[in-house]
Amino acid sequence: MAVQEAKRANRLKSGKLVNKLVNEYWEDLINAKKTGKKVVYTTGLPIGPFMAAQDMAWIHGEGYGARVAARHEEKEPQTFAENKGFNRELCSYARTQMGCAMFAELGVPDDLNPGPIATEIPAPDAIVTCYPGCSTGPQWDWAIERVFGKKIPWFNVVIPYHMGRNGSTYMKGEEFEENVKYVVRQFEDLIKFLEVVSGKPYNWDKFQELMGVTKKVGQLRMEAMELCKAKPAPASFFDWSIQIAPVNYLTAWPGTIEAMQAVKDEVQERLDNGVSAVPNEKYRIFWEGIMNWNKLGWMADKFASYDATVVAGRYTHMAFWHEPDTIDPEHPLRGIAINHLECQLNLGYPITEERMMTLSKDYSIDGIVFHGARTCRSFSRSHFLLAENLNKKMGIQSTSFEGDMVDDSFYKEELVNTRIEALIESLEAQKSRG
Amino acid sequence: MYQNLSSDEILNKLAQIAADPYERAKEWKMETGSKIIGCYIMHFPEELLHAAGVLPIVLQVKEEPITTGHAYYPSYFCGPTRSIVDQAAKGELDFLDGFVGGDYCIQAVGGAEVVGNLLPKVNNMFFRLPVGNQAWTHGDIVTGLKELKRDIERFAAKEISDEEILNSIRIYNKNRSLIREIYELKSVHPSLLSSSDMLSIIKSSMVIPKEEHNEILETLLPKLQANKDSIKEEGVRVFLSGSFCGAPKNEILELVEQSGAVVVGDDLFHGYRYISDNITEDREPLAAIAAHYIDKNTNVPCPTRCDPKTDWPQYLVDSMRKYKADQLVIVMAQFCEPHMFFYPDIKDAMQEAGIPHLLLEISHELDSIETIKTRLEAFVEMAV
Repeated sequence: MAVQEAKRANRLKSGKLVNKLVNEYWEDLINAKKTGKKVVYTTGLPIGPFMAAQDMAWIHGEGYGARVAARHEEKEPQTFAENKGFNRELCSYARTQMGCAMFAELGVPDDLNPGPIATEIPAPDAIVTCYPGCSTGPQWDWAIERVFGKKIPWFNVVIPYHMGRNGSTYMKGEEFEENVKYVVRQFEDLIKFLEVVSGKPYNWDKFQELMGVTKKVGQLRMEAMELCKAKPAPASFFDWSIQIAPVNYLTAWPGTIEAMQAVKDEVQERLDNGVSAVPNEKYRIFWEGIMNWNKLGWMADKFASYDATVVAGRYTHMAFWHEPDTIDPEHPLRGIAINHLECQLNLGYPITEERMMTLSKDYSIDGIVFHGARTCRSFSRSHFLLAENLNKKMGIQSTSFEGDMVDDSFYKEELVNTRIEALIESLEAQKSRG
Repeated sequence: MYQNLSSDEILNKLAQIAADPYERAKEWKMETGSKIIGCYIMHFPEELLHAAGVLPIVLQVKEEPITTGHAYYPSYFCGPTRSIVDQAAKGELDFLDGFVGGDYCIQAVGGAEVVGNLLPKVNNMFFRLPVGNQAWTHGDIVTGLKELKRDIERFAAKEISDEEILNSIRIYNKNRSLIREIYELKSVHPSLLSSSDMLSIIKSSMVIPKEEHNEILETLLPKLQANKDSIKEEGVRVFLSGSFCGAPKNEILELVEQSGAVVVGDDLFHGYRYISDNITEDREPLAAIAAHYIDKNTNVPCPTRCDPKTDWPQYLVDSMRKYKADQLVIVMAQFCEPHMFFYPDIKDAMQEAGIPHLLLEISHELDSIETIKTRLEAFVEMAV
């Protein structure tokens, strides 16, 4: 039986550079109206460069929700949203951001005392949806549009589900090519929409420059993550979750190349010096599911205590400019479309399974943790199939527990402990059998 | 065969079909040797499938508890998707030759993925129906229809002509028109049919050949018209809203009426939403079907369609006035995200219009029927 000692995960130190950029971004956003910038609300995958090219500010709904939760300010906006009638089974990112948006539009009720981040959200001048693999995103943005009195212009880029029809596979086939063309055409219309909202012709030069930055940061991150195929792994999935901002809502923000280069250099240095993310790596785990932001540090240490490195995950490794080489900065729309269409949530089951099997092999995975985010049904939808089929086809053991992205009321800590312990025990037994 | 039956006897026959929804389809398959395609619930062009000579049926939620399906789909997903997964896991959908899924709801996407895995021999198709209502949406829906038509043709090994699609549109339009006539009758004489009767009419329409259903309705309609003046009308006039995917449970519908209410209208998927509008017959067929998806959503707005030009809460306020309804009962399937996103707006609209409403969030397992009964009785009593 695995004995749990209190051990700490050895987190990357260069992440502090990212914190500085995050703070700059929020400062810019909060003061956007004062500096004459238009504010665009977005949800889904990163589309910041579209707005940044026009010198507009943008709020990424999920990123905002995660930041509010990271500052432990999520309860008040969630309570406000629930008091207004939003059911707590709705996406907790959406409930959190809706609550904050309602603070901005309706004012803070007397019986709530929200924190500063939760009440700093500026009202939108436009809404742009670009949501792959989840119907919740457009429905959430439509709810935002109604909160602000149906007066805010809204553009919804429809990202079609890549089911894998007629033999289409990852980045290949008739269905894939049809989908790419369809999304590119919508991006062209999005640009026209942003010209109207910003009141000026589109700045293609700046957009191309930003997509060059995006490509570079994407490449650095993928290269850094691939260094973790080494045993023991120099960094963990939890590090990549912490470093997600430069490829998410901070995409192409000034300084992101330097920040990601520093991360990669640190990973390389660790590798050269035999420094690992977990002091005594015995097991290599795949995290299947969305991140649980208010449990991140706790989880990292929990696995470290069991000598287990969570080395990869669908959340981090199958999205966020994970195919940077497809981006041609001179003609960036096709590459953006490919990265969005082929991201982790938008793939049909057979394609998802094939990608998971490839990652599991590449990262020498012993076991999988299925984090069933209660209010992210897009992520959880294929968990049971994946657990069964990866065990059948690759002999990989797994465990699962329920949790959430930013609503920790869905956690049952003792159950989580027991489930993780059970997985480690079965991995130990498997290793001892040779 | 229905000519000599009374309206009650015909309604009982329809209730039997609805209670065992796949039996007639299986018989049809034996009789004709043709193929059956299951459509995941909501937005599917049954006419296109019909034109290919196959029988499209809308997969139904079964009232029985979910058991085997628990191994394949988490318990915090909606009842309709879990029920269909459960049926596939139990082998109850093995009679299907194909099924069509869509991406209008992520829970339905996941459900179709699981069904695809459980039924590997069944042809697994997909209808891309883009949301919204922009200048380009109609053209994009036509493209989605063309892709589906291509896949149906490959599946059925036959080309589908425009004339065949138009013929199917006519048959389906007739069915919708007949059911709307029954709705008209019921709105004026709400006690003529119970809401369970209406549910049986719609549900049976979804699972048997439309030609047969048309014949039944053509027999039923005059009998209902003949009965209308002998019906005594009393009760609180209630409009039913919600359940825009799976059918509401009969038990719930009966409780509404047992509480002293009569149902004068609804926007249920197993209700008016399914038949609210016909497809134009004087236009190129795929363009007509695409326009139908936009138009029917204007008639009865659907929260999955993300069309900001529509206003579901206002539609409900207008419907309450049109049908002179006293109260609104909202039936929300537990975990139904599109509905949960809209409820606050509906609540505000009802409060502003001074219309009393009751929200019933219904779990598939119906674990608190007594609570629902008490709440319904108290609610209806308010209007007495």
